[in-house]
Amino acid sequence: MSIIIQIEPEVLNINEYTDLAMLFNHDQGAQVTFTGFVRQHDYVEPITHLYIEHYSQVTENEIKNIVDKAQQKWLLSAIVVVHRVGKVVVGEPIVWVMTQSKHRLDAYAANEFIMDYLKTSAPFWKQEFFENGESHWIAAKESDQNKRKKWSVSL
Amino acid sequence: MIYIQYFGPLATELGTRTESLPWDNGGTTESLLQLLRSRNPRWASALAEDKIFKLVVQKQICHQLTNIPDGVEVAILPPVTGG
Repeated sequence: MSIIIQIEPEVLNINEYTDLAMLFNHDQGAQVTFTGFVRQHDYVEPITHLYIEHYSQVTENEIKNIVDKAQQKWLLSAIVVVHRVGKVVVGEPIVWVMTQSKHRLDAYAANEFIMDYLKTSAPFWKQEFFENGESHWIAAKESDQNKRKKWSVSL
Repeated sequence: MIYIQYFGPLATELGTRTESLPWDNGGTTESLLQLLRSRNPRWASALAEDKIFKLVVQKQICHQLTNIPDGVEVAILPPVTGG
């Protein structure tokens, strides 16, 4: 079982992580990857970038808790979670999650589970900066909380 | 003395990211919150009982009332927005 959890202050090189994922593929039938990007438009005013804050060690520990839960629920051979912090520009990737298993159902479900819990439990806070110079902290979404409830898992 | 960190929108609302607080008599996560709320209306509002946030003591997220020893690092986390 291979687990990598990384908090990355620089631009993510997705190709590097994809290549890394292939190193873990020893006779595994399924590998699911998710990439989350910064979108320009959630409002009328375009966004230029996000600033993502985290709590060193506490954030990594919480992601480890999430990954441990995923391992308990599904038969996985590798999990990689990479999350940006600091300034992230529109179009850049924010988060990359890879799950690997013998068969696809476990990899798909675990990947969705990890993302749902990353969004609702992992100590990150995003601040949006707009082209007009304004900024605000993103508010936690009820829809993310509701989505998480389907898993019925407490951390 | 305990060393408190505030994060995200809570730090912005309170106007501070860190502080050192005398803690000679000790206390719990609840008594700390009550002390902070008593400072002024801004702190009372930001840390109101109907607001959701997490307490962290010595880098461990607290899921229940927790004792806070003197000399430790504490943090108050507003709802998260990662992923």
